[in-house]
Amino acid sequence: MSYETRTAEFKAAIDAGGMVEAGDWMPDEYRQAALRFIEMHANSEIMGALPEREWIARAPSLRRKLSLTAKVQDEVGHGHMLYRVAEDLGKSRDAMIADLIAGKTKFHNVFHYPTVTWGDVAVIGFLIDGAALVTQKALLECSYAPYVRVLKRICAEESLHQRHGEDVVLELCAGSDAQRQMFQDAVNRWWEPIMQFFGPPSKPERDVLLHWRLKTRTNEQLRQRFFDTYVPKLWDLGISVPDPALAYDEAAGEWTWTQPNWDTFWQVVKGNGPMTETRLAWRRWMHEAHGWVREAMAESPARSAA
Amino acid sequence: MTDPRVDLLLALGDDELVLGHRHAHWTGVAPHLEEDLAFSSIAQDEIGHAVVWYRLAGELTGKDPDALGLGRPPEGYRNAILVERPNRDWGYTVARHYCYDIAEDVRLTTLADSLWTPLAEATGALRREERYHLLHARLWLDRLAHGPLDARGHLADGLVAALAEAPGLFEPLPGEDELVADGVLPLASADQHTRWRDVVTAELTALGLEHVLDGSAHHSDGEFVPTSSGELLDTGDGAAAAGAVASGGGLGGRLGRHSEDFAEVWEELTGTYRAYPGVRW
Repeated sequence: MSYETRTAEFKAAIDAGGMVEAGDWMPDEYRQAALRFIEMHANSEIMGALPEREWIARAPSLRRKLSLTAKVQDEVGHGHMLYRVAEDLGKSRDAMIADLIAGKTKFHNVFHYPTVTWGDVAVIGFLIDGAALVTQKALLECSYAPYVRVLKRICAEESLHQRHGEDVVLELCAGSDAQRQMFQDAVNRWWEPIMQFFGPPSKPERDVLLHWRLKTRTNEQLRQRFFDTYVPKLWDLGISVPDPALAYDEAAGEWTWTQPNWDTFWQVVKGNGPMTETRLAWRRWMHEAHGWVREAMAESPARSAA
Repeated sequence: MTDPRVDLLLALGDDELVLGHRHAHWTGVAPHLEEDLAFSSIAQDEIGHAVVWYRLAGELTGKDPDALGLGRPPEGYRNAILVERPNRDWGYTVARHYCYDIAEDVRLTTLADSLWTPLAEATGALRREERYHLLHARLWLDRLAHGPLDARGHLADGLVAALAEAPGLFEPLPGEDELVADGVLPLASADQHTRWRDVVTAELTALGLEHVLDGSAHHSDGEFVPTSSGELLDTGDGAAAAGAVASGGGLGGRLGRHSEDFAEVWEELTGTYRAYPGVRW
């Protein structure tokens, strides 16, 4: 059977709802698209740990210090699981970490920004985890079975994070004027990056991820779903959204909103965000300073065998 | 005159909180992912233990755990200097983790026999978690001690630095005589220190690391120590990097006298809490 015929059969099976396992035959295009997508997801989990971990040391109460440590630990755990899924597609974790710290591979735009106050922790826990949950839930319908299995666990934990984030938000909004303002300021800072997080409106027929059912929803469908859930919640709390055009259009059955600056978005994901270089440099430095630990880890099985 | 039990509880709680705070600095950036997950759990356990001690102290002082953990001036903290030091590298982190968790084991075993029932009872849950911390610390100690030369060197340097200040964990508490006489503290700090030293000496000697006990990162007698890589650790001319012990044994913490490193811990740890008095988070 020719490569083209096999590919066509593979595509037909996926379109009919079929699932792909790591050991199955798959077209190179599928393997590459899946690897790139899952690798970026894994990168985003471990890079996403950095902005939040800055507030573990500065958490305002012991209870929040504990829960934030546990939350960041979960994110690292997600990275750990996702790198394993990606590894089975043919790239070692060492190679993926090396590419990440060399700036050759990407991570989500929202993790290139600073966390200025505890209000940013609230926005990340509530709105960014909320946005991630919207996209990850949609991925549960994707065609790559090992990814779906891991996503089920990730979504369960993310739901917990999202409730934790909401709890942090409620406490700020019910608190002093300064606390409330702290959250409003953070929403104002993060709104544009969150809009960009879903990606620019795209043509479905040109989206390779949709083609292989590695994604099942368009960027705009996901963004609309985010609005459905989170905009009413923010308004109920008396928090404004820094987009004067944002409104629900009853007739069209969808939200109208202002396009963010997409040039900024592309600059950020290419590695020119406000914190990109600092965070990568730091990870690079920690990685290089501890090569001796990885070496000791690699050698330990030899000893127990001896 | 303060209740000496409060000083004891603050020393216990502050050690746990400050070390948990330092441990949590590894969260998200540990040498590799599996260890990141493990060490985050240990950090959370230590902070959780601090809350247990602060709650008990709160019954005597009427203050809530946040007020005790985050609301005191720097000189009010009673932690040992050892736990306030930065993480430095993984070798020092493992060495301090080991020194501290052996000490915590000795301490909890002692306190389990306290005649002050709430204190004795509080040790139960803590000891169950502590078992895993000890397993973890010994696993790393063993792995690095038998690792390549480089790893063994990092560990030895870390041990020399940590051991030099470990006596601060057993610095006598203010009012300790009274605590011992009342059976609140069944074993004086000095006697706990002896127990700790016996364990640490035996275990490090078994790993061929007895030289670190004298403050030397290297064997002085030119011994060869085999490592997993098959290299022989030739300690050669015996040029020992001694002198690291000359830091006063890390004493002062129990009296609120801290090192220059505590300023940074205190700022980070308490800054947000102090900036917004009286609010809920």
